Amino acid sequence: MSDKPQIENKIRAALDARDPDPAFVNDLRRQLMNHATRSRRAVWAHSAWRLALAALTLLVIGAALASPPIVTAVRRWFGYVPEVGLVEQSAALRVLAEASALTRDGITVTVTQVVLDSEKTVILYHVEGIPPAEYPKSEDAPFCAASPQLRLPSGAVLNITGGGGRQDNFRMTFAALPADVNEATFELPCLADTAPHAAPENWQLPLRFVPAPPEMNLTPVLDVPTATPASASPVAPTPAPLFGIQFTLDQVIPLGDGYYVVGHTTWNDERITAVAIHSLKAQDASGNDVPLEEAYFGDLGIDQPEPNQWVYELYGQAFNSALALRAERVGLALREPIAFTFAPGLTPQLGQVWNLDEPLTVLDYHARVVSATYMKQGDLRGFEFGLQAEPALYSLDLWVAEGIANGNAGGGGSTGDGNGRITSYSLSNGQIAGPLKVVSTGAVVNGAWELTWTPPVVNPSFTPTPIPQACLTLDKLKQALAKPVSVPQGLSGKIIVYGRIQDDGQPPSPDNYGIFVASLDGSHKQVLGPGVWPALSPDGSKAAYAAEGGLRTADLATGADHPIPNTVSNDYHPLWSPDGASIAFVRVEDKNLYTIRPDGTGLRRVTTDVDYEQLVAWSPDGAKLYYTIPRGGQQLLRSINITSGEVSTSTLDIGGKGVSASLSADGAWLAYVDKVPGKKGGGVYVVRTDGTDQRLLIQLEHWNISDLVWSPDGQWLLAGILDTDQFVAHPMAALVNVATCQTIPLTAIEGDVQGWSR
Amino acid sequence: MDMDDKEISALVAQAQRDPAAFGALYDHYVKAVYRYHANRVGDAEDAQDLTAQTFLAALEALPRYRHRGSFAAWLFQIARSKAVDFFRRRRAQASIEQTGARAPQEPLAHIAEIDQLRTLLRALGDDERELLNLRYVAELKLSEIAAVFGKSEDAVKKSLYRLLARLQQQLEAHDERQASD
Repeated sequence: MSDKPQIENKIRAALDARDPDPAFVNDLRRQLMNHATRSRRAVWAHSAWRLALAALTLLVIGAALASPPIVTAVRRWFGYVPEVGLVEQSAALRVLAEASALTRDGITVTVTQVVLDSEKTVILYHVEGIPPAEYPKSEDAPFCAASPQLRLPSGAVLNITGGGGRQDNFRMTFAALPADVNEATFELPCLADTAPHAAPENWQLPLRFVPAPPEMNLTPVLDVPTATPASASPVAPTPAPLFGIQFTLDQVIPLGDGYYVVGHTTWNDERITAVAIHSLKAQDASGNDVPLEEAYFGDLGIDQPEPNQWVYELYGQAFNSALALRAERVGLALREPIAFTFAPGLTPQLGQVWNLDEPLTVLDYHARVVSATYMKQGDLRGFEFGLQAEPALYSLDLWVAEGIANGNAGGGGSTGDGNGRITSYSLSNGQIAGPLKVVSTGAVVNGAWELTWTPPVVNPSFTPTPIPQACLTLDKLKQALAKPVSVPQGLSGKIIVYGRIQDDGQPPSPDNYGIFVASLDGSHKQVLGPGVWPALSPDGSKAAYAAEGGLRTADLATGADHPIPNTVSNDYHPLWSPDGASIAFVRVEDKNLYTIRPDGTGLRRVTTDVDYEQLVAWSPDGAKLYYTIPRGGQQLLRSINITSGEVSTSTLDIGGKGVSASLSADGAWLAYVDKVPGKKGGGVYVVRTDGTDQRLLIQLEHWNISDLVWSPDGQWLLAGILDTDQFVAHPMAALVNVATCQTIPLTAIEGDVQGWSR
Repeated sequence: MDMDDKEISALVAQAQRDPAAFGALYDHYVKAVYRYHANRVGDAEDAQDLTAQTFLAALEALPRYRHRGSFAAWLFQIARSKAVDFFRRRRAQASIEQTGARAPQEPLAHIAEIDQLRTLLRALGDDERELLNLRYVAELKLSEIAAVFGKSEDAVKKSLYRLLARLQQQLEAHDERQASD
């Protein structure tokens, strides 16, 4: 389902167009006006015009040769309003006097909160009661794309400057209102995502503003009084320039369970135009890790931070010492591109390799391009470049700037192994038209940068709560991958996988991925063909899956494959009941859960509300369905009695995405993927369904984990893993014993395991 | 605050009579023109150069402007032609990722989804990227974009909506595969 305002804002962010330097704007204006004034008196002599243009161009270029940006006055804020974000202090705050709501045809739009400061107006609003029938029937059908407006009493209209929303809660930002304007009309041309003219349109809600009351929930932003800039020292074995990179902490915002920490980066090397911190970590004086995650200015209500500012979320309110914030790697944007020429010919073959010997100098580091391999990913084709470099140079982003016709640059990226071996990719959808000019405008370098922060509350006797430790970590998984072991003899059964069904040597794509059944060691592979969302019957004799036109079943013994009558396109996530007599599934059309017999009879709608349910499992007795619904950014677990419709709400808040949750066959344990504080990637938790004995089983840093499947006996958990360090990542699966943490990567299985039967 | 079409037309007419009045037009459009060029060429210096060329050309040609269609469309047709000349001269490849800097594997903008969106945007055809550039960087109205492309506003609207829907779908499909938190 499309989310129009959000995709537009994401596109704006991705296009990342920057505003012009004010000095350039003023200078050009002056020059234009000089020309315009002269043109009132003079004839527009062609030669004079050319001279003027040349002079003007030189002036403009001269103005552009500025020193590296040194942020001398970083942007600072006054306070933080939860759900609204950071606010300025230069003028008195104003707020919505009272909520404004309007109900039409059973749909209610409510403006719940407005905060106005000297720079912006932030409006929070909520929409509820839209019937499913008022949404488009398919993903590519038209939908409401209009953004809200704010109409002032003068008739002037303000358009949004930022914001977005999901499902039924929205946050929109407008320009600041004049101090003497205390009324406005919030106008919604149509309701986001609905089909054109299906729902009431042209909503108008009157808003009234008053000074913010003293008791307003406003958290003061704390200036860091003695910002201690980081000192930089490289870890490279040979001395390397420091680039003058410094991280400075400017402000902290106390939260209920931690802080937002806001800072900025400066540097004094003119060869660099931008610096990005990679993997900032926090530790106390005892070396204990303090969870620290990248945050987004958008979460703080700031749509346009300064280019060199950053914000992180630090977990914890009490610490036993000052904290050290450390970075060991930074990304650098280069002012002058580095380039080399490579001539692969006009018709390279996929997999063809060239041995190269191209020396490159990146700032003060040396590297050598040693190979190029022609490759394909999806519709894009291009090159994988192999480089050898000094260890201090972690990665170098190469891309083809010239020599490609009828196309545009496609995917790309670079990754290093930390020992000087770098792989960089450049793909496009065009054709090679001649020698290629390969350039780089960005690199990642290793080093050590650190700053110290003393939190407002330091209790030397405080013992910090340890960060949950997973039994399976990335290091342990890599060790297991390096020394694979066979699947234990007693571990048997059949798994069903959405994965590779064509061994064409190409990256995963709909051309080579589909459904197959196999043993855990990859033997006895039986390809069923194209399809998605496969599920195995408990006795392993049949499969159900989603395809064009609806759900289908396949008999694994005979190969017979049949559509399930009374199912339609976009029905998905079929799950067999424990007795194999029924199949539960999700119907996109009305976002509800259904059950049906494999022969298409007995179609029953189980849920009735528009709650965006995601199916998790059948109860062991087949009487209930477990599912999750999104609430406030979390996933709440519920169960519904199929016959009576009675809904039970679990106390479990399993976070993450419901489709990654899995119930053991005996109904005693739940496994799910959820956020791990301080970690980039999520982790797999297991918990009893009564909420006890929760623990973190798997956390693989930034690698992705999904598709959890319990073994039939409930002793093992099978997890889908994606190595996100690889440019072309192939999904893999690993078995983890829940009690002992024994880990067995299923190296013969490429794809997402979706079911396991005896 | 935005000027409406009538105010713009009045300014244009005034500037045609008195070039010194061009300043107000410049003030109104300089940011959009610069952002348009910055998005296409990536480098701030080149974007400034092209912005200067665009406004100089517009100032020179203003007496010949005939008030057919929208001034913004006319101005951005000049901007587009300057950009085309630039690439023809430089033989460089238009690249969205050149804005600021090419993002390394771990995104400078620290938003993984935005980085994935950038990858998707790079794979678009010229017209589709230009459509997004004029809409979300130069912030032209759909009617103005239609005038730039020489198409009906309805055709532009449909193209834009289809493109947005497709990008959203691709982004969601990627999120499903990555299952990121």
